Amino acid sequence: MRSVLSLCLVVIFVLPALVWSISTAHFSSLERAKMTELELMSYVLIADFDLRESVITMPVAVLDERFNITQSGYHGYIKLNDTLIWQSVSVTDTIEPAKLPRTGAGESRFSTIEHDGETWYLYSFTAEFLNYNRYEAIHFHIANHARDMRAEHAVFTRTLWQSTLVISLVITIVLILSLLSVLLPVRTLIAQLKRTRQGQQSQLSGEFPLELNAMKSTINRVLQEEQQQRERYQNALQDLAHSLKTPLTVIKGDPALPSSLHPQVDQIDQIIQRQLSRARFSQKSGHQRIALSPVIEKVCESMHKIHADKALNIMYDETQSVKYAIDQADWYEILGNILDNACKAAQKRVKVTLKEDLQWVVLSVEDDGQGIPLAQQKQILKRGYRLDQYTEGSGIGLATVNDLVDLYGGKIRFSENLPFSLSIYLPK
Amino acid sequence: MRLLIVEDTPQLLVQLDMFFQKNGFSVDLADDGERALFLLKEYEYDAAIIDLGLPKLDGLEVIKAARKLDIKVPVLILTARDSWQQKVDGLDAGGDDYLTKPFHEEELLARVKALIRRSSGHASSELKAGPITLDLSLQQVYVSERPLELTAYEYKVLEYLMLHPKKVISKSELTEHIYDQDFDLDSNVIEVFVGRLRKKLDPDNSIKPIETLRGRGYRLFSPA
Repeated sequence: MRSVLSLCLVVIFVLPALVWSISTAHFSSLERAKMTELELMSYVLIADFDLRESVITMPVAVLDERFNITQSGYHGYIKLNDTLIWQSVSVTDTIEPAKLPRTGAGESRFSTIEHDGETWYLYSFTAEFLNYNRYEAIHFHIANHARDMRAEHAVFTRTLWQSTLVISLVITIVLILSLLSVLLPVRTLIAQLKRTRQGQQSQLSGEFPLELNAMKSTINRVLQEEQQQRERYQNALQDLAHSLKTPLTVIKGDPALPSSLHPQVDQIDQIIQRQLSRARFSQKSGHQRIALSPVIEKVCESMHKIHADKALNIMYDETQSVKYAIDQADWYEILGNILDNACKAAQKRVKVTLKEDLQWVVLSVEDDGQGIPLAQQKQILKRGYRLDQYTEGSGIGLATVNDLVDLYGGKIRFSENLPFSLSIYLPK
Repeated sequence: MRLLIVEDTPQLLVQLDMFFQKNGFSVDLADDGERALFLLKEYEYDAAIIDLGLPKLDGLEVIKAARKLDIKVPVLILTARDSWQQKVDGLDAGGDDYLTKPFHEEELLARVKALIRRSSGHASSELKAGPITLDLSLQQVYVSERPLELTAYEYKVLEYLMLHPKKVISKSELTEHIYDQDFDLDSNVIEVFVGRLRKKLDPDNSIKPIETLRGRGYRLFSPA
């Protein structure tokens, strides 16, 4: 914006000022040339003039043809005192002698006068001629109308404007191109940042001009440090979880523990599980797209082992190969919790389906169990479902799923009727 | 039944040892991965409880190495690593069940027993051979619906035989599965137990549940 503004300033103010000053300089030099021209012409007249023993001799036709050709635009006048004693053949309309300025002996003057509604340049010079033993002052005047000079100047000025406009156009184009060459890499950088935020890449890539490269390296360093910090934080929390769990296990297993304390110990356990697993959640951004099906298959296999006593039929039909930008650990957590609950509730059958449409990726898990009572469904779907009392079964697991799904901007839906099914919708 | 417990927290190891011994198991202990793998190679266990975060060799590596060596012992993974990805990885590496810390001891016991039962191909916790019924969860024996009192070792012998019915079980195999590694192995003691068991199960010598195969071992025999 600033560059465009300064460009406009240059075009609107500086260039016309430039043109004006060049044009004016040109005019002055034209005038100076004109003066010299008329001065030289005066020498012709002076040379041709003769005053001898009070007899004035001046040829009708003089050496400079411009005096001899009618309407040449050049006038030559010779005055003695105030009397016009000669004028050139070229004069058709005489300039009033009164208009011709007086000059002293040896003095020259360059001036302009108005004559016939036009401006005329006038060169006046007074030369002294010896007549007997006295010097007579003879006044020589060369006049030339300014028309031609003005026309020449006009042509010059017009040409000057034209070429200036062309040049300024070229300059503008060059400036715009160089602006773009700076702005385009910035745009690319912004696009890269967007992709990083959306999880399509974890670092900025590509070559940029020197100044932007420095910025790109710095941003990449920041991203890396942030990632490392996140990992350090997660690791610290996991270590905390581990170190809390073992002493808690010892406490739980100690036969001397009064049974009145069991619920409290269980509650500590639940809180650790819930809060620390939430801290384990990764950010939404910065994930690669992963294939969802292989994890489903692995989790189903594990379910077979964990619930081996029930000899369930766990079915997963892979109809589409679906990819989604989600942290793998999170996907495991969602699947593990939902399937574990389904297997616990099921009598014989659990069915898993994975679908995607334009808007959503949908995971549905159906079981032939009793389902979840409506009140508990509402509790689970409430954000930040807190465990104020120790609850077994579907409580904590599905609350974790709700937190995770919410993190990715998705939703959970339960079926209205039996057979019971739970579906999670992940937005694309 | 012979159980291997691998856990690096001493208090927990002791707790688990006492708990399982109280529940009729012979228990061997290990507190690092290398010792655990050594014991798994040396002895035949009916089940193993393995913690994952072990010194010298990680629990997961122990399981993978054991499976590679074709050691089929059922393994229950007991650990604080409780994310689902870790659970699935553990089971994928060769674990058969997974329990996260902290846990209910009763649940641990039930799951270990279920593992043992399943690995010998029994679907329920009640074993039947002719008129003899053995309830694994209650550790109670019935003959023709009448409950029978057995000593700890008599029960252990009968339990093992009923888990492997119609199979010939050598004295040494029986010894390995009844005692933990601290005991002096004397096969004659087994003979005494089997004799006493026979007397209690079949006082009038009509059922003849346990068959002796000379030079080979014993077999639980269900009459045709």
